[in-house]
Amino acid sequence: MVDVLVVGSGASGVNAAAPLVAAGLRVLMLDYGNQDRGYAPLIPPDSFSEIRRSDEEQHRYFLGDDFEGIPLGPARVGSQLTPPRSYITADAARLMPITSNTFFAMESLARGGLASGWGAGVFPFDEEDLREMPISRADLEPHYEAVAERIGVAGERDDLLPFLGDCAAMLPALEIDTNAETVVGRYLRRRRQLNALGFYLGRARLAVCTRRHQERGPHRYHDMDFWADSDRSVYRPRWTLEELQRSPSFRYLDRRYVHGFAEPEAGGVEVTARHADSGAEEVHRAHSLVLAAGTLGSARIVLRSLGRYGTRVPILCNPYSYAPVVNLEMIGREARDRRHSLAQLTAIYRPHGRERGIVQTQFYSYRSLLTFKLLKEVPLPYREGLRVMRLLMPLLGILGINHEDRVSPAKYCTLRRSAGDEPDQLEIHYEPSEEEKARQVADEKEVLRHFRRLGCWPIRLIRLPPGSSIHYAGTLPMRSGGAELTCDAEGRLAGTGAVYVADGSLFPYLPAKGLTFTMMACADRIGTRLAKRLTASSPVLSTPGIRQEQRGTRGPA
Amino acid sequence: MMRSGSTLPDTTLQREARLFTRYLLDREPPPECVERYLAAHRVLLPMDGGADEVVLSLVRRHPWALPFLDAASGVFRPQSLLRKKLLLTAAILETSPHSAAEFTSARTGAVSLMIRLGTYAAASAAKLALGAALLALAGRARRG
Repeated sequence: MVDVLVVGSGASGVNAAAPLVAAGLRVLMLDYGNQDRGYAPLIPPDSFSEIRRSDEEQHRYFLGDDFEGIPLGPARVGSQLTPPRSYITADAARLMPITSNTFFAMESLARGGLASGWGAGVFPFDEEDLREMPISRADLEPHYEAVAERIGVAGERDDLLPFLGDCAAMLPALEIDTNAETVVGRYLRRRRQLNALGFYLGRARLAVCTRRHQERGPHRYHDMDFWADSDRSVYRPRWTLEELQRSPSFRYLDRRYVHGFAEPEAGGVEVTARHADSGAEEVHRAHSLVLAAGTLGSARIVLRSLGRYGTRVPILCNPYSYAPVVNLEMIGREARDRRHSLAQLTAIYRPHGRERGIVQTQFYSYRSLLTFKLLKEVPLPYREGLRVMRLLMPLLGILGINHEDRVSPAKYCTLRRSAGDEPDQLEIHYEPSEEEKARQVADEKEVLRHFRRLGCWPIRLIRLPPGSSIHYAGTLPMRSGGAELTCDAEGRLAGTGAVYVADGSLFPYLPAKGLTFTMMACADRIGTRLAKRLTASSPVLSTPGIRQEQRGTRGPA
Repeated sequence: MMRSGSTLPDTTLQREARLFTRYLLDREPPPECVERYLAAHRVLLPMDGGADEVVLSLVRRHPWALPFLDAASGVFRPQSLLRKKLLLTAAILETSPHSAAEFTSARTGAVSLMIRLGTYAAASAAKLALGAALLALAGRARRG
């Protein structure tokens, strides 16, 4: 029996495992672990523009060997995933089906989870954001620093500092491109006026190494961040996983689909998993279990294991819209080729009189996601459309607008048992109130108005359906009181002795900030405190083992 | 006669690839792009025809109609097969080093930008007007 079993290799799983391994505990990580099926070796370590000029094989990774990178239908969740990243969602719909008319979820069974295609935005939560949890910003502070040191965080101490807090481990900010420079220039000229209206702009804080850090980076500004990780500068959980695998006390088993746990009377936890290839059922034992299978994944495992089919648990997701904008200040300017593909700038809008509920917007330039993807959104004949896009491309920006989300009785998910060998269905019902919708519309109007003041004129606003932000939370919230299907301040699932949750499930409120960095800090905290308790209590160590129960090949459960 | 897996013969798809490339870029596609167009059809558009077949037949028999039908489809039938085929062609051409440069940004001054945008807008509007009429005729022919 190992000391701790961690389910999932995503952002929370690896950051929960890291302090456990550092404390010398024996950790087993179970993971499905899909990986890129071969695009990465095709991509040369050259800049986007050089590749376009010279690589005869570029069509393979830009379009995909099955042309999966050509979206012929309407915009859908995950359409920003390029072919080299398409493995991130492979098998998820088959093994973890979702039923919903209103919510379009994206889940991952990849090595590194959803953060394998993460935009790398870093947004520490402040005291207000954590108000509904039994932990404070002070509780998370050392873990924000630990994670920042582990993953590499680059940023600026600018007008966003009051919203994001400082970070001792912060690396110098990424260079911004010509497009973003003109926006910043206008902001600085109008800063006082805009701040008085509650609008603040700064450099995007990103999990990127801008200098050599932890054997990664620095970023090469090749504008290939949506396609490849050749310089390893952008944080992906698999970098931490590789580090963990160097430790003799850490073991990683992939091709495992974990579907349940039990706490036997003798103590410890038993986790059942199915081997993805052989179909064999396995039982793994540990002193403690840390679930980091994602907000929806961990909810499934818990509901199934406790037999709580039909029970509603809350679900949160940041509402998300995007708006292509034209930056008129870029007319006649030459855009530098040296650039990165991630968010250039972040804007925070705090309407007056509102204590909570900021609106957060990220500003991207558009180049390396290819022109044809824009063409399909333009109702012009394609011949003229192409020529128009070529002229507008240097002027083009994309605003990604995020709103907060709060718990409501109209936002929940339920696990339904299926017949036979069919997988359980997760039903998601998600209905924002009229008041929420009206507020989002009003806030978006204000944000776009402020960007017009910065010279960025929106072409249109596209509101993606619920689920599109791929920031999910709240299914097993961390709360005081010990109510069922909640977790305590240590992340321990109520009613269990040794089952912990370490992912987005824990958060009962989602501010308009990306959750990932805070989720990682929370996972680091849970792992650190669990490590202290386990090493203090000196658990009995025994040989790690797997009991395989051969029941023949089965379909997914 | 080789068949791509689409209901159309390969020769028809090859002619389409050349027609659409000339329309978009005023030149012939390299052979590998034509092959990729066929390969993409096998995967993405295996079933031709249906309601869009009348429009596509019109384009194949009368290539001069393509710009107008494209303009009208962009507004009235953005998910039509014609638009999808054109987008497919654009994607394939963009990801070939022989034509990638024609999809990258073009820098220009303010006056030139306004003139060119105005020209393209006018051309689009004119094509839309005639294209709407052609589309309506095609719709009547299908129902007839």
